[in-house]
Amino acid sequence: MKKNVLFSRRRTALRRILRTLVCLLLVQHILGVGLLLPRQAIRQVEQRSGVTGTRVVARRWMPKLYATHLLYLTENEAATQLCDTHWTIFGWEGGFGWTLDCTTGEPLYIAERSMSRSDETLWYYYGRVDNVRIADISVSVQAEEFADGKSVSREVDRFTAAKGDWLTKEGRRYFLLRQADGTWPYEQERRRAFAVALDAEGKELFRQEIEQGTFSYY
Amino acid sequence: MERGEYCDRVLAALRRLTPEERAAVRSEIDGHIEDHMESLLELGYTPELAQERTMAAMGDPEAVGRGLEAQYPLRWLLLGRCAVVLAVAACLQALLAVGMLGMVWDSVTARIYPNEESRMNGVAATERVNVRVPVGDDVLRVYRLAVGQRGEVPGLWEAEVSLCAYDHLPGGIVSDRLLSATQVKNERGEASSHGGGRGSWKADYTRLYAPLQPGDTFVTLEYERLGERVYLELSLPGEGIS
Repeated sequence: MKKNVLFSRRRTALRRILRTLVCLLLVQHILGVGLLLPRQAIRQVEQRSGVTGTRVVARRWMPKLYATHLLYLTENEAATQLCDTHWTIFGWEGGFGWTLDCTTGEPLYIAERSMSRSDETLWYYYGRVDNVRIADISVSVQAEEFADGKSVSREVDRFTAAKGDWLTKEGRRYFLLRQADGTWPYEQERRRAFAVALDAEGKELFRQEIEQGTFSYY
Repeated sequence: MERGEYCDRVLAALRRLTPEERAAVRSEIDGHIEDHMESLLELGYTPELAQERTMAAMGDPEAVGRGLEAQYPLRWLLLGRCAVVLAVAACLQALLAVGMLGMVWDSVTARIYPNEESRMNGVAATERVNVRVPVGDDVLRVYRLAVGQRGEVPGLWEAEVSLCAYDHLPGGIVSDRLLSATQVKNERGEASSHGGGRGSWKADYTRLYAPLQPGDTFVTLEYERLGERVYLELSLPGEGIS
């Protein structure tokens, strides 16, 4: 009489888990969906930017745009990146990211990242400080208009990195600031942002316009 | 005790089994009873005696049931079912994302035989090449060089360098900055212009054009980003332009 093979529940479960893992691997790698962890989605964004071997410096939960919206500040020796992800029916889905190339020998690398959905807009400023004299960073947001052929700018907001905005990873200093109010009511004026580097006494060392970054609309 | 009664009493002690597991246990016990009875019948026992001795040898059905119960812990059932749910969800997501397979095909063709159409109207010389350069996790591939004229600027001779990029892993994601940060320069260091292309998450294609003068024999391919640098000299096909 043919002997039936009686599998234990453990063996049955392990076989199912193995099949599921293979299925997930194929779906995730080939189709890029079914990601179970937010870090996997961030990794996808990084791959599109050509950045490899990164470590997470900071993670922020920002439910204003999506209930599951997560921001990741990641880095390696050559790059700093701010990416985002949120949960969808396809699993965790990567949003957008902007990579700061930190190999050019600058004392300060900074970029702007804004995200908008419906009536909500978030503005983030992030980067890396490679000069030990820089003790603090302020961001000056200015509205520029043209009058009589001349450019006239005025400061409409200024905010300084708080203690919690400074981060350290692998001996390098990073920062991640968020502008508290992301609304921009100055429709006829152009937005410009400047990074102001301050020393330990609060004295301005230099300022530079923030020209790198990206704007995402969801 | 009959065979069926024995199985029923064993299964009555198993409270946490699924219908499939119950059927499997019943089949297993039936099989054991059958084998034991066959052995006894072969030894000359009568069917009634064989059954009686078999039931005695099988042991107390309630005790057998309790022993089997311990072989079916709840956690493995839950883990197995979670795995099934996850696999079903992944398959549904795959169905919704099946359009991505086109990108996978792109990744395959970029590896095997990229062949985007040339934009040259008058080609003096063309040559298929196979130059592959690893850049981070991606591969930058030069697959064709051509010398000719596009006709956009009358009398302008150019080198057309056809490139593609893909991830080092088949089906992986390629950087969308790789080709955009790549330049081709002529012997005088004049940089190229991009001549269009197409791309997806799995493969990117582009054509770069560098102006040529009579006597030019090579162009250089250059890439620099995130501390990584590529510099290649590419010999022009044919005898260049005269």
